[in-house]
Amino acid sequence: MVSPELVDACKRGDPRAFEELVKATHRQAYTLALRLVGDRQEAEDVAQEAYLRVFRGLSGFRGEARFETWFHRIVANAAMNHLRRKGRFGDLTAEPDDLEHSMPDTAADTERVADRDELDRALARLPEAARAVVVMKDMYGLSCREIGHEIGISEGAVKVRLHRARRRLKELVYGQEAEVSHEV
Amino acid sequence: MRCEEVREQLPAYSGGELMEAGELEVHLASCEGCSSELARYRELAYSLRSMRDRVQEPSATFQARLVASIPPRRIRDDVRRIVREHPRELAVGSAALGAAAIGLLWWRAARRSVERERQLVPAG
Repeated sequence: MVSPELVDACKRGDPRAFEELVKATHRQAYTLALRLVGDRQEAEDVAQEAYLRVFRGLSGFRGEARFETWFHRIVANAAMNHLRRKGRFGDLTAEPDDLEHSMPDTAADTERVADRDELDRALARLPEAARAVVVMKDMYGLSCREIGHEIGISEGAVKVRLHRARRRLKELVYGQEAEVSHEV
Repeated sequence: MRCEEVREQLPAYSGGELMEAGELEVHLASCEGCSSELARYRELAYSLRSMRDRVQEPSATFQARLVASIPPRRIRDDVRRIVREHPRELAVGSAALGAAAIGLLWWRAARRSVERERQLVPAG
């Protein structure tokens, strides 16, 4: 966790404090960027862009939210801009070509907690737009409104994307559900 | 409610985004299949949250590259920071400085005037 004292020292322009901030946060920044853009080199570029924005905009950080929350939004925004520039922020409703082949053959044991390696692989197989909303909401706890602001869509549209993405992720991890016809 | 309708809403329900869930909860109470599906969504949500602190390792040079990219400290930035952080003190200081400058100018003008008058008045 980044202390308010460290943030204040960075605000005063202390270069040692900046180094300390980088040391404390660069892995988290890289990991979030990687989960959003899905490529190691691109994730480093996105994280570097985010740090430049942090250094320029740190004086505007008022400490009302935790530094990490503010910082995650900046990384997410840099990642969204990157995906947009690369033309990879497609429509979530478009079915990816390999989705059918990516399904496990049988449903897994529903009692277990999803294996995190398996979940990481499943996340990587989601289309960028689907992965982005799941990572930002369900992993990093951004609100639908904040995500909508970062992506440039309405809160309602975020929810629609989020629900489709969760369903798709569940299918990737556990397999497609069987036909049901029970009525209560 | 039919299972298809319930399962359509489970992704939203599992995330707490569903406003009206009464009928859905009645169905869940008596449908093992849909309850299992909900359990899967909840497991996924739990696993996703727990993955937040599971960091990936960037390249060995990444940290050094970030530190090298820190823009040098500029006087302009310091001035902006002081203006932003201490507006009241700056206003009071500026007013005091302005008053002192006006006072100095007035005093110098008065002094010159006195000297001129002395030069015009013949001695004795």
